[in-house]
Amino acid sequence: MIRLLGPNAWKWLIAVAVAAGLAAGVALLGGRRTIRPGGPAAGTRIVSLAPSTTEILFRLGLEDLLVGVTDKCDYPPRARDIPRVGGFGSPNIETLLALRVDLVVASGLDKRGAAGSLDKAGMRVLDVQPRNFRELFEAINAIAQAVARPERAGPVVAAMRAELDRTAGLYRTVPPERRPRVYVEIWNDPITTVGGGSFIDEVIDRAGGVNVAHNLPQPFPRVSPEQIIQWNPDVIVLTYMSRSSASTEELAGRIGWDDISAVKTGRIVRDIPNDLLLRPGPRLVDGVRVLAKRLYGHTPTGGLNDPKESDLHAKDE
Amino acid sequence: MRRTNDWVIYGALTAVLAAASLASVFAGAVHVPLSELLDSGIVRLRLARIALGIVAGAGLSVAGVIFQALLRNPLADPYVLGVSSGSALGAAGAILLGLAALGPWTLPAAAFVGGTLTIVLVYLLGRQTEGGVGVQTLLLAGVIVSSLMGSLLMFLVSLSSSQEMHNVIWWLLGNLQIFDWGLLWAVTGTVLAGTVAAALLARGLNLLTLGEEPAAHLGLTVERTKVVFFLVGSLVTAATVAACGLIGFVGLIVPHAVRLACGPDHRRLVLASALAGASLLVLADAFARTVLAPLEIPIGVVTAFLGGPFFLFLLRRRRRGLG
Repeated sequence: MIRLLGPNAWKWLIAVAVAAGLAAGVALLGGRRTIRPGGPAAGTRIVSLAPSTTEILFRLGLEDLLVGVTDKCDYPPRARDIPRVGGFGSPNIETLLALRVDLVVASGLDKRGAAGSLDKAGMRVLDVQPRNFRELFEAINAIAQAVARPERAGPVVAAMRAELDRTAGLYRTVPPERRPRVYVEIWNDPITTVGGGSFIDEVIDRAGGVNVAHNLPQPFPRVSPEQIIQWNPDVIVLTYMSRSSASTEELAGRIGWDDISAVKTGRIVRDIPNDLLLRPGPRLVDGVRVLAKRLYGHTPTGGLNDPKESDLHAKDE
Repeated sequence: MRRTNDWVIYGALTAVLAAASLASVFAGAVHVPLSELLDSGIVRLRLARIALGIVAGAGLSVAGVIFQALLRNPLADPYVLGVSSGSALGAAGAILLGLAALGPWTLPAAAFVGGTLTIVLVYLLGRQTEGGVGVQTLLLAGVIVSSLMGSLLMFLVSLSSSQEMHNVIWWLLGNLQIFDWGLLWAVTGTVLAGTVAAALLARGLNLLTLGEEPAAHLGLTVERTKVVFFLVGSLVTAATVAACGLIGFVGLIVPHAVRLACGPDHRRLVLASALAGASLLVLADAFARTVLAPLEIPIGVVTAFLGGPFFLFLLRRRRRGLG
């Protein structure tokens, strides 16, 4: 046999063995992907066009139905194994057709009419854009409904509500006028903060803080830096859209900012990942908890807060 | 006679600038009583902003004067040779690579490097085979490099998320927010050096507007003068773009307005434009940060809004005067 194949036979044998191993591996992995009996409506093929909706689908246990996500979908880590179908909010319709998608779940489609053309191509479109926790819970319900698994939403929403209530216990006894006044900076050039129209405004409120820019109606207003000196926040939270926020030293070195209470007392929070605070998904309640601990300085059991605590990286379920 | 006349013009423009700056100290996003204002961080911030407005306004106007004379083109402005697009590309790269938040210097530094590399590229393309730069070649090279950089910028933007894109676009619209004294001194130094150089060599600009051959006959070393002005104008522009993004209109309009008001002699035009441009930008910034306070609107919007009608008024008045 070996002689028949010639002097390179051993190479062939290795190649065949590797191929067989790969095939077995793929079959095994693929087998794990098959839908469990009693699982979600079999055959629904879902594409998620936003990191937040991807997280919601995972939390609902519907990840086996996901056939495509965006290149920004980085959580939970297994989301990275799902094929990418393009950027946030701008789907490529041909790719979706090729994937034989039944349902597109999005959070804000970029192009007007994108929903219409997806609809014409025979795909159902669910565009959820929650602006507060009430709408987030509705969105989770709507997504569960859309795949005919409405019973999956209840426990998820209940767990989130319970987490919010637990967090509220941290500051329930603190009267509103003594709660810390918080300035959140999401970009430095030009200075951009979060106004009353944003989801994070409610995150700050639920964490027991008062957003200094709450009265501005815009979700992400660009304000004069002198306004921030005037607001004189007790706590500054930096959570930039790009990878790293301004440093504490940079903040203290800004002209005139040494007058700000938060800068004087060093109450500058810059270690909460921006997806915990800005991504309207199930982990937002973790963002609320972590922020509340930064604002009130102790854990629910009353112990001192350890800034390196591991709950920044909430468990993925 | 001409000299005394000059000092009257400079004096008047300086008075306007002083008044504009003083008004600007008291105008802002927040209202603070005078007694508190003087020892709060807000007054330091406003003074820094006014200083940046003076420097950027002067720098853009002087660069405009230089490029209009050098290229013998009334449409020339500081951005015509592509410095702006190179700076924008540098800044956008820094934002999209996540470098911009590393420190207050990264964004301006990236913009300045982008702008300077563009200048070098335009210069190399504009150089003619027989030595020296040709004005037309330079202009064409600038336009082409500019659109090349613009397409690279659009490419980067198309790769980015919508929030990053917003950050790039807002940076491009320009603003006078300044947080770092060091950055302010760096821009001030560059603009001051450029303005002094342009004022001292203003006779060269006068001769260049006559055309290169007449200028050479009148004893000007044309090639060297062109290169010097090209470098001075470009570096001043790159420094202002690095510190405040793109602020349109000032560099185009101020030289024309001053020319209409005080005549075409560059020995007067350079300094008068610097003073007038400084006043315009200080006033425009005061407007930008108060009209929708505490929100800020892009200062470029204000310069076009205030500057446009004023320029049309000057233009009409002169036409009537001639007719």
